[in-house]
Amino acid sequence: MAVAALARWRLIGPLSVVLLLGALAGESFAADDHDLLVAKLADGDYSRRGADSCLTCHDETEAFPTAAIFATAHGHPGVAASPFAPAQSADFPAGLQCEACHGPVGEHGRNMLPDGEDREPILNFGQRGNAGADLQNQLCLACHADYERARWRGGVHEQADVACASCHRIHSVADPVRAQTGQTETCVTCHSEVATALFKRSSHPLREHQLVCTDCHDPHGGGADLLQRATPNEVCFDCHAEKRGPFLWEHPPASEDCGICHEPHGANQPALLSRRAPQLCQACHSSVGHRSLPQLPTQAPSNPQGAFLFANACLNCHAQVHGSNHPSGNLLRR
Amino acid sequence: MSTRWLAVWMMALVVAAPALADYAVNYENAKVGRWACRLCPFDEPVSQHGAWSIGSIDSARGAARFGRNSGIDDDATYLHLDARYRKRWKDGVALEVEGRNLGLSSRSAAARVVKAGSYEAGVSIRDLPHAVAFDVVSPFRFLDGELRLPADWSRTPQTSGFGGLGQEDVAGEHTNLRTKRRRRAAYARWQLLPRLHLKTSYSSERKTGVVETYRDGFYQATALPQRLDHRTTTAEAAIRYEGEAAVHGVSFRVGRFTNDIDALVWDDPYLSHVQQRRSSVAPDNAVKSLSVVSRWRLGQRTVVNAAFGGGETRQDAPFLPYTTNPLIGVEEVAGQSLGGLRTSRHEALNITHRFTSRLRLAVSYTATEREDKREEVAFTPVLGDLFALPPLLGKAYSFNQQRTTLRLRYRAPGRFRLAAGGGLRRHERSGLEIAVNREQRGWFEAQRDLGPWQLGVRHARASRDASPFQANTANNPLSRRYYQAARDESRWRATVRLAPPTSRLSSGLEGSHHVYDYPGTAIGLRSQRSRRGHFDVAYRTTPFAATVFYDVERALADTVGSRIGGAADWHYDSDDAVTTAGASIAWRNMAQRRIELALDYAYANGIGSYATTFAGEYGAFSPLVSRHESLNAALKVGVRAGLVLSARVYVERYRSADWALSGVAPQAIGNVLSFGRDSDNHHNRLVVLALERRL
Repeated sequence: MAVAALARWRLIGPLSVVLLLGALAGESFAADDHDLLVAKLADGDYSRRGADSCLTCHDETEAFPTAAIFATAHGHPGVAASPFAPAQSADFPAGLQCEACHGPVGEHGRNMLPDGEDREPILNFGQRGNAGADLQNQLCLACHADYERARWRGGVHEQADVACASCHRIHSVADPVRAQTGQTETCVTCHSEVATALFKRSSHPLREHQLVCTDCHDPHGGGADLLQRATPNEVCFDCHAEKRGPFLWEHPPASEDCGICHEPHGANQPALLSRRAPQLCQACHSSVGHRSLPQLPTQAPSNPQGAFLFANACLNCHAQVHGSNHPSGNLLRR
Repeated sequence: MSTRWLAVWMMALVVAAPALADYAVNYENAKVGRWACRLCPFDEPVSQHGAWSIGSIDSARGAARFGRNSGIDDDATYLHLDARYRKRWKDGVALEVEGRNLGLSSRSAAARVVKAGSYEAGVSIRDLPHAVAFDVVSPFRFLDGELRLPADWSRTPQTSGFGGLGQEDVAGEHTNLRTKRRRRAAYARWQLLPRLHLKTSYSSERKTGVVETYRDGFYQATALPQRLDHRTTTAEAAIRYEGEAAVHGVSFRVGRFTNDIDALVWDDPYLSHVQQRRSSVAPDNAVKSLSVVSRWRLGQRTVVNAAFGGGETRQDAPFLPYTTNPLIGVEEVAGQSLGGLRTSRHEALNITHRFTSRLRLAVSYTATEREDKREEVAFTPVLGDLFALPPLLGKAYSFNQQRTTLRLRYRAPGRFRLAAGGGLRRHERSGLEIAVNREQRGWFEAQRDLGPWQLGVRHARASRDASPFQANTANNPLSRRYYQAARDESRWRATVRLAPPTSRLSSGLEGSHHVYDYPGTAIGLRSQRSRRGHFDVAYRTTPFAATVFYDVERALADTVGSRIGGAADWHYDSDDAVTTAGASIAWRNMAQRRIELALDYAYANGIGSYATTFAGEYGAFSPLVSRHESLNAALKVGVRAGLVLSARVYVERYRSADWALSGVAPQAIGNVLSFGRDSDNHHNRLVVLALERRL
């Protein structure tokens, strides 16, 4: 099916060019550490002294200080199943200290290196880490493959090769993405279009930290938009339950998907509308009468047609646009 | 072949495919008997971190928009109080408490106690204020839950006859349009057995305040300050099994929406056949749902996850009478309430299979169904409390959506990532002009690291068809509603990032182009296009960071219409352009780690250009403007160990122009009595001084 779709939309040509360029360019650059790290995990050449081997070099003078982990659950020996819990082979990787996440140290910890020889790599985390997100995440999921992450596989973030460490900070006293004041800033580092949407004329109050992305989205979830609920409308109804209905007179697009008219992150029009009324409404409503009339910029408010253009335009009369429960509300006016 | 069967075939193919490699982690060789970690700070197993800051906020406010979501509504001095505290005991039990904006009406507080693998519980409270406008002029007063006009109000057929509705008018009330949500939540999670957990949660939100609404009489509309007082409660219980090879969870959720206001009743300000009118408000409703989520790991290479859910929503609020006009002789409303029952069903199945450490395939299938099960009953609506219309059936609206997708990802050596996929989508609706849409979609994505450069491109195309048009409404038969119409879609997105590993400088450039064309639409929305460009650059050292970004976005649309119900004779062009830019600088650890300084500047300029072409003449509306500029400066000075003096100055300037509001006085529109709200324009300042104590 995918091949048929690619062929139908003439995608194979551009795709082939990209592939070829990538393959040619690949010859002139060294391969990443992915294969070597996969092999190291399989070899299982763990250190003899545990974290002492690592902390001798990786101290607070490093560009990337590590010690803050000891103020978190990951670095606390009293937290069951943490990397620094007392080690029991039955619970591995719990208790494997630094190597629980970074993998077996192997030759990385050698004291003396011959001139010109690079130190053997060890697994580094993050979007620019030295292994694929899939491999990085496998180390995290060895402990965190719980219910909250049951739908991680196949979700949009997982498919886009987002690494856990792209969002989460483990070597820090508090993980910003789990805080009300740090989450939006973390998410918009990739979703820059959302960052700019939040400055538009109408937006949800994420910039003010009144809401956070996870009020609507489940970054570990499945589905196309990683929503907290099965459909977009169910997410909206969590806060806007007055629009849940079912109403006596429904407005089908409002029942189907709020996103047909609204831009949830921010819009250049009031009320998160993608375009303004009456232009937005007349994209669908064309029956002869006031709905079929063009609204002109020369029109004055006092003109008989002024009611269709000024103040709330169509919503001056059809204010119950999300549905009406009045027996005379068939035109969404009551 | 149906979408469902196609998904089944593809999933069978994935599961049966040979697996070639694996990420096996060999724990066998770990010999931990001599591990001690003398360098780990384990000697202080009880750790605590915390800080609180107290001070004052002085506000000079010019408009509601400034405090729209902060609760800083008036020129006043507010208490600034934030606090946070974390403690972890020797046995691993952790306590976290945090409070923010405790002196403002946007306050929030949360507390959580957790013992990993054993239990977790938390409570939170969050207030969400939302201010839209202050001091709008309305002749209405609230009396016994109804909107009443002054006793001396003189009714006239046109708004121009209403006198004295200027800003100086005291006949009406100066009303603030603002709401407040107070959200309370609590949750608890216990480990019942080694792999079995129980989780319960409860949340309640009350929304109160006054919002702007309009209601129609008989082609004469009125702006009304509508009081809100409603509550939404949700309770959920879930039981979960978390095994190594499988995870399963069942959850049950009940929710209720309760509106303490039964109807919107207002005095009609116009000279009309009724003195008072009545409209419905949001009816009470109740929802319950059951969902099951499972994940199985089949060997080391295949993961299957599935979610199934079903639920129902009921709405049985009593109906209002058809009209307030006692002279209209219509029979009683059929039934006392809707007897509304809507069921929903959701299925999702996903299989991810790793062929090698670099090649992965994922197939997913989702289906969503909404079925409105109310009985079809005839109603006799009364138009404008004046004319009884012929009986109409209250229409039930149902739909069914299915989606199947296949995604293949290959991560080549040298940080070269390729992904491609395709999908089918089917959307079926009841009772509308287009009963079925089917969409085919294909996409590919390539990402390549070339030394310090990271390049990416993504392209997607989709084509949606539409079943034969059924002329079952009064709409022009040439028109197609855009959410049902046949549609072609094309998306491009390209990114370039420069991040040399040894450099402190990084930069990114991003561009995207998105087109929707509606080839079968003669009347209605014919095309939508959007373009976006983004540039950012950052320089970071340990004590210093500077970032700059610039983003420009345009969204264009083309809508055509016909005055007389035939072929197109007018069209609208819309062009919404938004430019956003910002710069921030932060110095930390200056003067021997005693001083921190941060400056943030943000600029956003939205321009909406709307135009109408009619009878060969092009006419442009004056531009819609929404311009925001703000500067935030924050300084922290360490007075002594653990004590920090902090100061913040925030300046915001906002200018807007909207031809639907600007210069439109309350009685300016012939048959709409509006609030006469003008476009927002303000220049505001905020000063915060606080003392922060760190543990």
